[in-house]
Amino acid sequence: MTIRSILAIATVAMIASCQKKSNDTIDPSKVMVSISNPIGNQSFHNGDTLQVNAHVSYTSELHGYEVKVVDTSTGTILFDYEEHVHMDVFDVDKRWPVAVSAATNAVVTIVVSIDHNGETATKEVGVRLDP
Amino acid sequence: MKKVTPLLCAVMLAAYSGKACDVCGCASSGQYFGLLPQASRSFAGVQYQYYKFTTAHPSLFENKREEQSTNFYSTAQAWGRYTLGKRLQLFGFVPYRYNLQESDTITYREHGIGDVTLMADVVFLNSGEAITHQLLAGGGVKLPTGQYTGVSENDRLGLPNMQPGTGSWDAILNANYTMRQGRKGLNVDASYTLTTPNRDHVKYGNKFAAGVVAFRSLHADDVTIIPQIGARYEFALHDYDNYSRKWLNEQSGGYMAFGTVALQANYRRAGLRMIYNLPVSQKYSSGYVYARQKIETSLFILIN
Repeated sequence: MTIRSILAIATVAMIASCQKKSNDTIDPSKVMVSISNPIGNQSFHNGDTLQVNAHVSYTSELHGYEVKVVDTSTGTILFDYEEHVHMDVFDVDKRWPVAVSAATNAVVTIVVSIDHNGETATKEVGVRLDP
Repeated sequence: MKKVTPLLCAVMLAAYSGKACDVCGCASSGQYFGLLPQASRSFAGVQYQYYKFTTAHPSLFENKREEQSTNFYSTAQAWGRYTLGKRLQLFGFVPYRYNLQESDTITYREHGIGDVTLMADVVFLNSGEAITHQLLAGGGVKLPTGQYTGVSENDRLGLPNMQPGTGSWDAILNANYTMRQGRKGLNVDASYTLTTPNRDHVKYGNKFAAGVVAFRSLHADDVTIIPQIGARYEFALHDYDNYSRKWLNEQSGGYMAFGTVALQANYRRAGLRMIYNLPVSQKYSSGYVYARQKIETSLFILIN
């Protein structure tokens, strides 16, 4: 092997380093979030487990999701969880032991992160929480 | 005394590893062959490398603070060189990695056998009298022998490339040039690592590394002391979260530049080397990963 061949290999290696990137355009409307649990207006009592199940899919890479349970009257966050993902299809499976001091109308929200610039898609379902 | 003529051959290997979390891919810890006595002789030894980073993991969602962590990458490895005649030198590294991350909320550890690296270098130039020149160049492969369990829950949570192995086959090209005049000398080394996707389609960014050190040999009886000073530069391209779908992770990759001081001592057939790298400029993982220091200690014994 000569110096010339080493340089040739190195040059090919550098050229091969050109990084291609997916041409997919960001489109939050194409994010599909299907929440199977809870169902709309489902009621829970203290001691119950509010189970959140959802199937998420998109045409390109997703970067993470957040699951929140929020008191709709006060805006108080009762439960909050976020996770990074690097997939186009994934399932959400989170549980929250219900604990409220008064009857509460709440919303379960799943926020999906599409990129690192704040693009998200959101799906919500309302629930009733009782002591 | 003169038999222990030190020849600086800081041949840089690049057994990099990296996981595809958003801000990481940060274990771009290359490996030096370093200052080896008797370039024509085989040797065996052990190395210990320590690499410290601080990392910020930004939240993907509004009104959430970023999580801070400190990462410690430690590698203990067997290494050696086997010379085949005057022209060919074979090198091998068998690492054991212990990686620790301390964040605001958890402490996380990964340890196990790492990826084995095998190299073959050809001596292209070894000549001169008043001024001597030596040029080694060649290449090798990093094998997916290390512990790799796929994209784990911790990876999804934003923990960096903590696993001992990358799960990928990588090719390495390297070159090393040493010029000596009397007891003074200069060494320049460079390497380029071409990565391939692993079974999860994760492809860590190709890496380039180059370094230069000036050195001087000090002799006393059977002991040779070789202080060195120099600089080092490392650059990594972006990782791919999924190479087949071209999901480029633009928050990975970047560069780090280090100031380097090192000291090597040779006593008869034994050698000890210590290297300290302090970052002087860097932008890695969009600035979310910050290298603090990099330390390497090596022991080796000449075999023949």
